[in-house]
Amino acid sequence: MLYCEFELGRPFGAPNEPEFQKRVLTAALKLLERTDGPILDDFPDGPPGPATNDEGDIEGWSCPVNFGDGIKDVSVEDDPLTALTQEIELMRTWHDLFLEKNKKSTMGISEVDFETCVNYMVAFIDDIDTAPPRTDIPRYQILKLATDEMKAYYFEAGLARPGNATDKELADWYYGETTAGKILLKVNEACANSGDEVLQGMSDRRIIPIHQQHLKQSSPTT
Amino acid sequence: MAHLSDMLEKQRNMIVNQDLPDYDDTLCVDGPALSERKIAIITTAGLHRRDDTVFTPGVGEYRIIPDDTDMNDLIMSHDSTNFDRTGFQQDLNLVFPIERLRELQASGDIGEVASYHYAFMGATPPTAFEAVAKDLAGILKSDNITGVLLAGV
Repeated sequence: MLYCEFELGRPFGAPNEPEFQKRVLTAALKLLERTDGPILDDFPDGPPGPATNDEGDIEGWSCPVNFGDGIKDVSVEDDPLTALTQEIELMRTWHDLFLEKNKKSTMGISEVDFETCVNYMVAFIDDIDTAPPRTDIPRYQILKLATDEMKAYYFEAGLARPGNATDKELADWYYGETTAGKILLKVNEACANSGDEVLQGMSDRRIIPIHQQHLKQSSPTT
Repeated sequence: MAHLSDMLEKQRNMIVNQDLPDYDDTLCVDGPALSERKIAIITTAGLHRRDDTVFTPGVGEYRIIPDDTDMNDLIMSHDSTNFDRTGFQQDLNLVFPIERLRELQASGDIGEVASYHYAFMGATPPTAFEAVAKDLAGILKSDNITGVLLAGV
């Protein structure tokens, strides 16, 4: 086993760093030639580029539109669907740019169009028994996939924006500052209060990640 | 890789106290030089082709990633929210270093890239994997795989 001091989710160090990735890969594969196991070797270097798990410094990241509470006079409290839909539309230019630059998207895991996912999440907040958009998989699973779909959209859009934000900064922005983040907190609360053991389990940390759990305490909806 | 000391208490306790099977010691065995090995990737990142069924939490299962797959079409249905995905969104090789492996084949550092790679979803009880892992080990042997890159996420 090769032990690497890299962030979870980044087993080969850093994106778009082919030489560094190849060093890690070679170091791991070289272990195959050893017979003195069990082996636990340390990879000597940290990943190149800015630290990804530092405290967020959103000041250094250009945020051209204020997405705080939705736009115009629509707030997430009064009209969550409109607020969220408006925000998603405002992000679309950036998401299109991501697609143009990367020629791919990680969206599509729900097998349901994004608008349907959004509508379902918002409806779920008011009524957890809202008919899910897929019935071939359990309710909790399509709900989770819908939340992941929205996360993929926002993070891809965020990655296209100037400033080279770290993943921690993107997460702080997404969960803490966007209407989407507020919607997720409401979905999480609906799960927690559902009386359904599986949904309650989801509300633990499968919608709001561990490093954003403080938002659950500070949310006015919880 | 994360340190237990960096985790919240609840997550740390879950990992430390999880039910792990006992295995006998398995000695390392000699084999061909790396430059002669046929290498497959096994990732726990929950990757799969767009048309494949998404992973189901708690179920021991894997997806096949043929080497001729359009790698830009791989998506990730891992259940966990607790690891970074922005790196994967920018560069598949960060979690599934297929291009790097092909480069090592081109340079002669490895013998050959396997025709099939495999993806599991971590965050699944290890015991749930046991049967399919044994089955997959047999498949790897019959495919003359002589080296496996186990890439956690």
